[in-house]
Amino acid sequence: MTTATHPAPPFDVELGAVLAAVGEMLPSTLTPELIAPLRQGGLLAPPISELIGDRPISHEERSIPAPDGAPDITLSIFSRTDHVAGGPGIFHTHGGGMIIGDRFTGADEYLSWVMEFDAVVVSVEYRLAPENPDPCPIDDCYTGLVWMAEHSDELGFDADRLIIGGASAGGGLAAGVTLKARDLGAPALAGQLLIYPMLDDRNETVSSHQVDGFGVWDRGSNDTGWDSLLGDRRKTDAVSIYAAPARATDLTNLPPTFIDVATAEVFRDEDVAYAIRIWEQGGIAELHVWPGGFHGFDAMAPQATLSLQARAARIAWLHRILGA
Amino acid sequence: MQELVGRLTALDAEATETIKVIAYFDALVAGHASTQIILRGAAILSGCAAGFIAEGVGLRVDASGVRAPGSADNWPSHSFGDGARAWIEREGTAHANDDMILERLAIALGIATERNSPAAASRRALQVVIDADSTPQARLDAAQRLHLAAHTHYRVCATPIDTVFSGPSVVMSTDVGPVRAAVHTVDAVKPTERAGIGVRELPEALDRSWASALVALRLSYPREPVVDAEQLGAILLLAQAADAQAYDSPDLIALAALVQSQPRAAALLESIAGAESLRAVAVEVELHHSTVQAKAADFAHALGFDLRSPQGRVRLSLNLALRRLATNRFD
Repeated sequence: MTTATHPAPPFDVELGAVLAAVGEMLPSTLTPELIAPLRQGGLLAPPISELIGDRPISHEERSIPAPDGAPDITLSIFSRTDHVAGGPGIFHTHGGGMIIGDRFTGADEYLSWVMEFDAVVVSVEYRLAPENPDPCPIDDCYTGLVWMAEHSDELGFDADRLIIGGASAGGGLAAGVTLKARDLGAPALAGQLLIYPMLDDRNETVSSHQVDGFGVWDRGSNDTGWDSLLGDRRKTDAVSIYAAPARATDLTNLPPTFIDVATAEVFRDEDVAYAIRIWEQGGIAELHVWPGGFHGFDAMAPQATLSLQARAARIAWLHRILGA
Repeated sequence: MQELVGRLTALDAEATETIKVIAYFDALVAGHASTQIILRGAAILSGCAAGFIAEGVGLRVDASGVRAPGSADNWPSHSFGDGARAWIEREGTAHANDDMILERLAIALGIATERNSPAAASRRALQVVIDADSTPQARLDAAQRLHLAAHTHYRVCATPIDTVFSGPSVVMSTDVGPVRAAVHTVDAVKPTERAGIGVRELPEALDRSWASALVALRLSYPREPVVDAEQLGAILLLAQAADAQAYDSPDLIALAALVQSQPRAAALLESIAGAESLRAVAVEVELHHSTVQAKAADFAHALGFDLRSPQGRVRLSLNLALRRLATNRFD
């Protein structure tokens, strides 16, 4: 059990200013009764057609079957209108603490990957907690990834260059799906892009204590998210490593991993620990820790210096991994 | 994530978002943000390129906040600091938040440039050096920051605020209005416009030089625009004594009354005090000798003493000097 004896590192001056101007609209602590209003608020987000704008990107919706009586899963598929087959594929798992968001959450960034890499991007609409607790979200994501890998020819990408990626809860799901894919032997992944991932239901790191009552997605919000996903199983041995990848002791045989996180968010220490554990076991990982960032800083302040650097680092890694 | 956390991008063209703008710039100032970060904030909020120019140095960022060259031209702008200007490059009609963004940008830049510029640091150091309330150690430390040699004598120059100096200068607020102060080595003092030159002192006592420079400036007038405190002799002592106590002598009251009733008397009196003879005065002021004689008699009657005797001329000179000291203002 750890507690914070020191306050969290300070915010970057530019990011702190954005938080002061914009962040007041959202409470730092997301409690269960805020889930419904926040889902409503998401409906006010601009439609995907507006997010695409006048970029030459085609958008297709697919509904795929799910095993074991689970409902069909909706996938959104994006590629350039002048797409040349044989490029990379990116399977995207959206963020939102396991409880909010949809397959278009984070579109701003993954649409830029479509353009930059001529990648086929598939974003999955997984079932949300608390209505659909673990393993619903991870199962839906895994089902979607398997479908994408099996349809590489039809979708027009190279199955040897399939990446999974996501932010926050999406990063946690991406890490969980990667572990599952390793353990089940398929599909093959060329890399996992974990953007400030949500990995640890135990919520007992120093950073998880430091960021409490301020910033974005604080300690209390994390409790809400994990409670919704795991219910009574939370913090017990009954939690699978696919739901909470931080619990995995064996991190061998993983594809090259990219992890980024900010210094003033709850996920800092569990994300750094994940990278360290990969290296201790001889794996390939790249870690970026952004000084003075809060959770989701690059989404709230996309034009801030640190945000531009963070997004550029992800793209640089993608270029290296995809050999593109 | 942005759909969930909100986002800071260009503000709506119609809806005012004053609180957002103020909160943003206030936070940047409180966080000691650099001028580039402040400019980027204005660029992001307005969706336009933004720039500023201060003390000949300019900085501009494009609409996405990246540094790019450009100039103020006729863009909407706002002044700040000492002749500095900030602008945003809004094409077409102004958006609802443009004025607020410009105003807050200018305020933030004013604070940031004051904090960060070497010129501002010099100004602050100079202020400490010449301030009588500074401790000797603070004065020495500030003198060192100005690269003044501890065992060299310097002289402080006091001038109206629009005098231009090549070296560091600072505007001091005084009882007679704002006055600009600058420090020079003894040989480098050569002001040509209106100035008071203080007595030479070591850095640890430059407050005394400033005090005498200010007195000298207050004694200056069109006939003697540059006054050297070291040439004042006893008048410096007299002036300092007059400052120290409210000096309401009958002489000064009579002089004030005379000048009030005849404004042009002041110039003629100066001439009478300074010239060898009334004939010389007549030549200088281009009046007939007899006119000058008559006027001098009038003045002597009004002031109550003979202006033409040696003692009278000294008395008149001193009274005129004390009057300048009491009435000269620089605001």
